[in-house]
Amino acid sequence: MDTNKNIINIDSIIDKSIFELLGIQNASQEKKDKVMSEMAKTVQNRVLARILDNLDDAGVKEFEIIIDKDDEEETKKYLLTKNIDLVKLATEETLNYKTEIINIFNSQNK
Amino acid sequence: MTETLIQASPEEEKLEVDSEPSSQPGPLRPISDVEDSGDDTDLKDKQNDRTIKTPAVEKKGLFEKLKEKFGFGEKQKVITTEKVDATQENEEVEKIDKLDKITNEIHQREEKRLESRYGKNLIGKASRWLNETHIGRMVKVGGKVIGGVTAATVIVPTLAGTAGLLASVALFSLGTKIAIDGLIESVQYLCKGDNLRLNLEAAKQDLFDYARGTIKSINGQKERGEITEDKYTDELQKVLTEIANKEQQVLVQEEKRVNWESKQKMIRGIASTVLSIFLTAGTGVTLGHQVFKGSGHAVNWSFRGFSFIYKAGEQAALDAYRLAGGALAHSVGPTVSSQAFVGLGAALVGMAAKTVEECKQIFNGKEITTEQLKEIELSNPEVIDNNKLEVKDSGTDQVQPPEQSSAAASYDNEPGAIDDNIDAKFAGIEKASTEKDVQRTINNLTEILKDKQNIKDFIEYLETSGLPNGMVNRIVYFFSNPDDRVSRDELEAYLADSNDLESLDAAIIGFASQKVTSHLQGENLNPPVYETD
Repeated sequence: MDTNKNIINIDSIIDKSIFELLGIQNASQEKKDKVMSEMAKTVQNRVLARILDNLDDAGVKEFEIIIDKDDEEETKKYLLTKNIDLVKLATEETLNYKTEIINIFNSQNK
Repeated sequence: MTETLIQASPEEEKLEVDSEPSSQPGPLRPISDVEDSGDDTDLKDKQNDRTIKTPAVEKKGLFEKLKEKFGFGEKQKVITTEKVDATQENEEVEKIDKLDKITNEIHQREEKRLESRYGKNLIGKASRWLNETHIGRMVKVGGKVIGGVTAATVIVPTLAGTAGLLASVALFSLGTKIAIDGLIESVQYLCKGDNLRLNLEAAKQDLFDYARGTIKSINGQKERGEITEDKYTDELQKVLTEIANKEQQVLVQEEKRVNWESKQKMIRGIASTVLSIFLTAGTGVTLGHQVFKGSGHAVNWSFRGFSFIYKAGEQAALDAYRLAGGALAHSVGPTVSSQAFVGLGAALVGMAAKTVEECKQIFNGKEITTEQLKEIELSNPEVIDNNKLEVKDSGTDQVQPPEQSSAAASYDNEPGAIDDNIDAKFAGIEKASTEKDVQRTINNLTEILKDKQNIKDFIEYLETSGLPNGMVNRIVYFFSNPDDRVSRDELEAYLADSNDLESLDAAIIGFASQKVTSHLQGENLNPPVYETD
């Protein structure tokens, strides 16, 4: 296959690590951990944004009060009432981000 | 063989192949192409003229036995001992530095934006919530996906022993479905959705800036006595009119985005359902007895899902191809032939090609061509490499109801062959396994598969019910193999409590969600540790 093309292979994106997909799997573990940490934070922020964007102003306030209580059951119930599926959000955002990074990285390395 | 999504066990990782290792997955082949050499260590792959050697490990789990028996899930991972040369090392250092820079910039930029939108205090609290509570930690599933472990594989290893093998199928599929849904969305989003969202954000920002800036300016003029009260009222009126106009622009953008997303959601729903079927089958879960009952119905049924996205002419072409390949007529047993997958792949590629028509540019401004999108090739080299199928614009706007099923007909045409095949494979499994729970499962499966009239009636009923594909899919999954996904008693209880298929489906979703959640509770959701040579 033409390696210059942006190949989006569904299996690969899901199954392989970002480092493998970018051909840097042999980079130092320390560096990979650092990058991984940045990426995880970004995904976390995007998930947070998705949660908060799904709430109106009153909802955001309610959410803030609920997380302050530190009651997992209540939080879970609250998210359910707002049709917020955290795992689904996380998976979607991660795949979006992973694809995005591959595209940015590949476009900068041409 | 497609790469498996299931994590390789330590034994699996020791598999070696005596031919050249390939980074590309090989074509999917009928199981008849892989022959058991008689002992437990070698498999003869007739098509590629190679012997797949497996180490003589002490005790093999059922998954391995199934893999050897049917040739699925071969993760022919060859652990290389080659040393990375200095040039390559330098290149990798350079590349990871660049990646570090990119990820850091994105993180900083987005965090700043998020904090400015919702306040540092709330974001800090919410971040702690995500990090410190169980429900929040689920988000770290995302870390696993980045690390190359899917939501599906998070689930699979948590099921205890081989008894969980078949039970994992439903969860595996659901996990894959979630992932695929997200992925397809990402492709759509990066193509057009991103632009629409940006347009919307831009319109909102424009409105906000205008309102804030102009009103502040007018108020200032009034406070400084530069304008009279009447002039102030006039100016304010103008500002409000302009705000109303800008709001209208926001609404237009919002409407465009909502309409587009609604359409994409429909496309995504079809695509991800079928693709999850594809991946489930392609990654080692045999369609025959675990997913779709082990009869021609199953495959026909999945094909019928595709009929939604084909125009009549294309459907006819697909039918012709199916006949030419003979996939459904002759190869349906506990696995599905490669030709069947070509059909699935072609449908998806066709759909991707349609999606790309709407894509003006990818988010980084780079033009994206239809040809590139065709590279969404499902890891099935037959689709691309052999050009066996012409990829067509599938015209997804025109959703046609499925024609009356040919499933029953094909079932009737080949009942003996299908049943003989299934029975033979089951006999093989039973002989190979000594574990009671597995035996029980297999016995149940065999009983179910033999009950073909009930299967036929059930599937025919579902096919003519006009219910959404996803719902039918889930119901077939769960009813095809009770006792391992959900106990027969529980299933009967769900059935008794459900007045219609919608509520039954809701009960099934509830069950699956509960399972997924409970498995995640025991999971270490920290980012995975990566292998290094």
